[in-house]
Amino acid sequence: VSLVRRWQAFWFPAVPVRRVAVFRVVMTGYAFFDVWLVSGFISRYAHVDEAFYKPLLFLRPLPRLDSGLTSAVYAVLVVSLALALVGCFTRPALWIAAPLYLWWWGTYYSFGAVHHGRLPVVVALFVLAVAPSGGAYSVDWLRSRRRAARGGAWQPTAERRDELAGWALRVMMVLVVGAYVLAAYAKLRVTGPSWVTSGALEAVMIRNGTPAAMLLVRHVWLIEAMAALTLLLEATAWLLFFRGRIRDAYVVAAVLFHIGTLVFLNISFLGLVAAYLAFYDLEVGVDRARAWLRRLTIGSAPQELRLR
Amino acid sequence: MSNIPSMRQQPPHAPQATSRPRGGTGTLPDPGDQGATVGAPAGAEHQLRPAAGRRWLIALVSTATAIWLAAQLGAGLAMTVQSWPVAGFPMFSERRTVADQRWIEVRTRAGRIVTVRPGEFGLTALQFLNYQRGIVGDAGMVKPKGAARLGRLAAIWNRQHPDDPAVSMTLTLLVRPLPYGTPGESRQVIRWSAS
Repeated sequence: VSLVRRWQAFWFPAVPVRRVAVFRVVMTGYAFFDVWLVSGFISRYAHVDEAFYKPLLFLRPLPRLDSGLTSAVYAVLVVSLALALVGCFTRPALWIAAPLYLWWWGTYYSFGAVHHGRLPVVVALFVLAVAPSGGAYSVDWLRSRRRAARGGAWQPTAERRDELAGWALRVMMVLVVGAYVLAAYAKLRVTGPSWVTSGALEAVMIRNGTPAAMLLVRHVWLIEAMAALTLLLEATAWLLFFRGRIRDAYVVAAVLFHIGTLVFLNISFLGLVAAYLAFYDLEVGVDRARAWLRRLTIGSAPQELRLR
Repeated sequence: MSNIPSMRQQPPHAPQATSRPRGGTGTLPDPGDQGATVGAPAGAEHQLRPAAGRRWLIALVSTATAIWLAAQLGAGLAMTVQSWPVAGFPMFSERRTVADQRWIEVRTRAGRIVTVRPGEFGLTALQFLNYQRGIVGDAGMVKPKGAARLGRLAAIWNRQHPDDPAVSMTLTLLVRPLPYGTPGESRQVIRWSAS
């Protein structure tokens, strides 16, 4: 019983609904712009020859869609993500967007190259669909307030706390930490600690051939130092579970690391970086930003002259 | 950021909260703490889930979480990526003693020599590279079905170029030892010819 209680206490801490609502805005915003601006080209994969199609496990029972249906999926996905972003019919919109976003990127990854950058976004959309993520900063929230005000009833408050909001953020935390730790595990299992000097990082830098990478590959010691830092960063991701400066320092290091992967390897992990927000009290950040804006507005307003 | 949640919007007539306000994600609630109804006055019960239904929902989500966690751990330890989005993370984990460079060329019936680009098949460079890895590995080892895969590639290319089809297709792999700048290189050529 104690174990079950500990499990429940870990996974279901009651946190302010506003926190998960801010997280919804960030993650659906990322997914919306990702699909709308970046991934439109995936609809062309309906024309790619069957010989290149190696469907991921979850896609195997499903038929490949033709270009008409793929375009229809794209349109529904963009609209549902937009609705989820502004919080209009939030839960149904997320329940539509999550499987479609999964299908969208799963289809792309079924052509021989799986990336992990979108994994946190897929998981975020699913957990946000379960959590009360439309409970603040949303059209749904404004509508429910207006309805309540019209009826003279109690007005729902955004300060509500909820275990499912806490659960959604916990899942994201565990996923982020797990991704790094399992990446370190794979390196240690396949190659061992000598991975640092194994040439793995050097080979991928040469293959991707960004100008910055080609400058660095001439200095083996530098590549090995970078590999050692990579392994250290991945293996110590559990530090994210500690609050305070340890976590902040880790996040700064990880963000720098991902800037490095973008510059040297041309690999983007922006979705994973956005998922770091699950570790923070986002509603407090919003309050501070609001207070700062208010001070800024008052400060810039013309001073009223006092008349005697 | 601070751990102190703001409570200033709480109505003055709020009933007893079932959980105390506490810190953020780093602070766990008391065991058995319901915690979901802070700020909800007596008139709002209809807006909350019935307690029994809520308990079932939490139990269901808890079970689903345990299944996901076990699957994620299993995929991570098995280092499989085909099970994405529940996948392992084996990228760049293998020892590499060489860096490779590869390209594919076709000789057409009209005698032209054309370098084949990933975009001609609708693929990205990495997707096309991974297809080629099924023909010949990074260290130069030709795969058992390598010739058949190259032939399939030629057939696809020919379907797209019916006016001047390929009579032969060659994949050239240039392997250079690491560290970068070490002298010496080897070349592996795999050829398909129209019979």
